[in-house]
Amino acid sequence: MLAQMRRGAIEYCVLALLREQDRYGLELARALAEADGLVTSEGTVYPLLTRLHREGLIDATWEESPNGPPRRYYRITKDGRVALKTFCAQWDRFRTTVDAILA
Amino acid sequence: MTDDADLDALCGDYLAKLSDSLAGLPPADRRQIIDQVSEHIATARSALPAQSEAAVRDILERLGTPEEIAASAAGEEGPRPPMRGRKPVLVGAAAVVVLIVVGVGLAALLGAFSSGGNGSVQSNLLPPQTSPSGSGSTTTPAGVVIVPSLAGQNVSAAVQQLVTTGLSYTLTYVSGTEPVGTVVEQSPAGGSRVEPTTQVRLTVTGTQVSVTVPNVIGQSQAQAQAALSAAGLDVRFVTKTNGSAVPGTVTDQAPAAGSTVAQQSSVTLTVSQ
Repeated sequence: MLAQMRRGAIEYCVLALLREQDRYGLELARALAEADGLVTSEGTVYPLLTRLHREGLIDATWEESPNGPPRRYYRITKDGRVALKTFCAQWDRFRTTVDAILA
Repeated sequence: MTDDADLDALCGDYLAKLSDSLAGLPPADRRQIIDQVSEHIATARSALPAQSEAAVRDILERLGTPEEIAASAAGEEGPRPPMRGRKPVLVGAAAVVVLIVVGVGLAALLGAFSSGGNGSVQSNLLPPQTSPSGSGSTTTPAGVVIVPSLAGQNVSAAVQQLVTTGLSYTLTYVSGTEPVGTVVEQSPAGGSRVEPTTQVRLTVTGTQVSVTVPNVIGQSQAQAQAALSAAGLDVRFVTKTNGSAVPGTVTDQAPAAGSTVAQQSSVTLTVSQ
């Protein structure tokens, strides 16, 4: 049950995390793993990032790090922003509807 | 006390298992996931105050089991448009050997450009992919990859980008005024649309030095270490009980004396106990 709900929402959580700033993999994985119930483990974020990348919703660039190896920073694309905006509007309506029935 | 090589092996083992678990994926996706996880480990390890086994195991545990990641990947592969058919998985022992051979040059390069100490080579940089596969970073018609623009970049970043797009590469070294390790030229040029099997030639400032491994069998551990360090090689010791040899002497070495290897390569010496 939770797995199905998670599956529908998590990619938009990734896009939302990238809305304000670019982030590198470890940062994204940890942010999602720390949000209760979103991912089962940090590593499961990478197949998702791979798909979002393939679908053109995110983009990646390499940047040097002051301490440690170069990092791949993920950035939301224009298509990604459109998808996120659409989801946010739908989510709002969906949540209101479900809440009203559950109440 | 665990040394860095053991920890590298621990991480390498995890990545190898992950690679096996992801065998059913299209090669480009599989490659990309392994790359990302490898980078995750390297970044997390670089942030550790000390490289302890417990800390490294914790990083791997938080990543989840390779099976867990594979299950997640299988889920992502599920409902996708049939425009890009799955390609057969082209990973054989031969391909791996080729990658390792190319990787040695890369390792030497990284050794030369990073700390220069006798530490192990960072494993954030995977060897290049030589199998034909679609590009992971750009949406292009099937079978076409856009060559990234790499001039002016550090060679490690440049190679990472090529690996991401699935292109293979060769490195040529020249002297120049740019900092060592800068890509000064590339062919084909950035922006070119090429076949995924194309090999990109990068011209990089600096030199790749190869050295001949000296014979140290029969020497004491200290003598052998000194001789190999003088030759620009790193040394690892393995101890072994050997009834016939004087304790503390080198009874075996790998690679063998006379082999030509990249500078900063590691030579493993067996020392009698």
